[in-house]
Amino acid sequence: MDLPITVDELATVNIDFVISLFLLMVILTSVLSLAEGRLDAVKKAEEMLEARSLSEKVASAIEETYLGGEGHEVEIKMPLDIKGSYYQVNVNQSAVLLEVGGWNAYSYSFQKKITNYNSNQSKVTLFPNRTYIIRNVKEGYSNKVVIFLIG
Amino acid sequence: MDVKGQLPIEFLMILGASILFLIPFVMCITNANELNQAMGAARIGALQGAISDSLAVYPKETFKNYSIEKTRLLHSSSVKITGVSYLNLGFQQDYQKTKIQLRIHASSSVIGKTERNCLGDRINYNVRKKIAESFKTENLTNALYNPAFSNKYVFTTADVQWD
Repeated sequence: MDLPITVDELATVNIDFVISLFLLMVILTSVLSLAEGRLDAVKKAEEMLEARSLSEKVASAIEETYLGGEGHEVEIKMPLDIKGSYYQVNVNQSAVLLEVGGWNAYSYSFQKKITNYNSNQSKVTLFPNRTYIIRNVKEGYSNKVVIFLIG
Repeated sequence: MDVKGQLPIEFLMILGASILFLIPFVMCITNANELNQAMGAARIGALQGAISDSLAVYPKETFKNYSIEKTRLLHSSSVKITGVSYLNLGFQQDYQKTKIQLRIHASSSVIGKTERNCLGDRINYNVRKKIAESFKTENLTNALYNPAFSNKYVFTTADVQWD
C-alpha cells in the first residue's frame, strides 16, 4: 500500500491508476451533465416562483386595500426584473395577470372597480422598477380601487 | 522490453486478450451511460413540468386555452413526482434504435380527470423536451418532442400514473 502512482524511474503509471482514472472520468461526465441540467431547472423554477409570488403579492395588496375601506392605501414597489427578464403586470376588475418571457401567471381577486387617476379605465398596467400607491376611494355608494404611480 | 525495443510475447498476448474483453465492456458502459443520462434528463424534465403545474405558470398559448376551458388550472395546486420508471420495448426497425417507454408517477391535489390529463401532458412534454435537449436532437423530432431521440434509443412517454 501507499505506492506512488509512478513506481519506476521511467515514470510509468500503474495500470490500476489508469483504469480508476478512466472509470472516474466516465462517472464524472454523467454527474456533470446531470448537475448542469439540475441547475438549469432550478433557475427556471426560481423564475416561475418569483412570477407567481409577485402576482400574488399585487393581488393581495389590492384585496387588502379594498377590504380596508375608504382611504386605506398600500404602497407597492415593483422589482427591476424577474431573474433578468422583463415583465409587466396587468390588473383588471377581477384578476392580476403577470407576463414574463412568454409565460403567464394569473391570480384571482373578487370583482371590484379598478382604475387609475388619469382615466376611468378598467385595466391598469404596473411596470418594473416603479412604485405605486393602491388606494381605496369612495365613489357614490360604492368603493373603487385606484392605482397610481408615485415614482 | 529488451535492448532492441521488442516486447515479450506474453505481454502482447495479454494485451490482445485485454482489448478483446475491453471492447464489449466499453460498449456496455456507453449504452448504460446513455440510458443513465436520459433517465437523469427525464427526472429533471418531470420536475420542471410539476413545478410549472404547481405554480400554475404557463406559456401564453396554454394560458389562453385554460382561461376559456379549464379555469381550475389557473390556481396553484400541489403536484409531486413520486417516481420515474421505464420499459424497454426492444429494437425498433423504423428508427433503428431501441425503444424505451417512460412512465412518470405523480400525485396531485387536483382531482378532475381532464385536469389531471392536462397536468400529466405538461409533465410528459417536459420529460421528452429535456431528453431531446440533453442529446441535442431537437431537430430530429417534432414540436412536441414526440418521440425524443438519443444516439441509440428512442423515447416515448406513457400517460402519467396518478397515485
